Amino acid sequence: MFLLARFIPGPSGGDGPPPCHASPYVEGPKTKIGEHMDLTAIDEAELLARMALQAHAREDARAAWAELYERHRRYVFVVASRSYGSFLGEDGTVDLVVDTFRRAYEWAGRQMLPDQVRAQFASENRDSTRRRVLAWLGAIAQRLFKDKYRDDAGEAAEFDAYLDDWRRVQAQPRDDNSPLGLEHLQTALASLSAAEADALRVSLPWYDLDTRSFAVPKGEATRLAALLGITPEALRQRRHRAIYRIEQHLGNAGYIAAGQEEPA
Amino acid sequence: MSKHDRAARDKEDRMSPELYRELAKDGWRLPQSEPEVKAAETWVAKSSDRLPERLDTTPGEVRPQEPGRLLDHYVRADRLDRSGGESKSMDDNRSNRDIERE
Repeated sequence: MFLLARFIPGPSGGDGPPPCHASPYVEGPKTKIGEHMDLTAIDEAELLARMALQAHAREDARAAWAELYERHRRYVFVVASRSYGSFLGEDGTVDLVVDTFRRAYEWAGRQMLPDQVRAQFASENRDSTRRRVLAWLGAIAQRLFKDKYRDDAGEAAEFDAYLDDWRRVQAQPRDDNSPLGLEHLQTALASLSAAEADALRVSLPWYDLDTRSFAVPKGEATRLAALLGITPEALRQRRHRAIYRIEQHLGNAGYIAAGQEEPA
Repeated sequence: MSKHDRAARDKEDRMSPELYRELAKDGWRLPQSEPEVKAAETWVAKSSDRLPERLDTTPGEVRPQEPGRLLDHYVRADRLDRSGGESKSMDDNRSNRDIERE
């Protein structure tokens, strides 16, 4: 149903994807935005479909990629800054944005078939299509961020992991049925100390929706804790306190049943 | 760590999926669903964040292979082998043959 993968090596051969966090790309000739044909009228699904044709119509594929980048670089930068900016700094956040778009281009060329992309989004309106593609870019950026702290840092996630991300994003709820009140959540978040907020924020990419808990491998927890200048145990305790405070606040407001025990 | 401790710790690390999803809407994690992106688009549009100059141009050419990284790997492996006793010199620029000639 969510099929886009062809599960065969792309035109560049059977080599695995280069790790994005280790400067795997060379800077080639840069294209000034606006030099391409006018693609502004087409939607993001069509841009992906054209990017998928990079083995046969490289210039068209690159033009579509440039259009996707031009449209959404600001969105990806702002959300990445808000999520990870305090850990990565501006330069690190820019690297993450650039690598996210590069990885999207590469993935489209290797794993997408143009007609399947068009068919998958055929029944969507333009806003919905754009948001689903942005959600996918968010998943790529999160994967790249996690790669930086993996136990086998230096080795990028397998391409299958990105395929899982694509499927997971497409399977996410389409309608907003959240029982929570964003206004109450923001009040609860504002009550956290900076240390608690950082511990929660840096841990969120490791939250597992299936188990409803955080699954941070030991080595990664050590590196994340080092990023904050604390021990892994302190990281866990601060994250726990943060969740407890938020759930208490939302519980008192009647939005959620508190699931955390009061921290010692 | 006892079984009791581990169970308690697992429980401590739990969080509701609703809360997890809501955090994306406020930018605590990267939005990865349609409702999350829709909420994020609202505050991104109001954001006054300056876009860094490095994002003014499209990223450079993607290179399909990484000969440099592969080469680095073999060079490192070769140096490790040599440091394991095969080399007669600590100087990488001098071969065993050079040393034997002396």
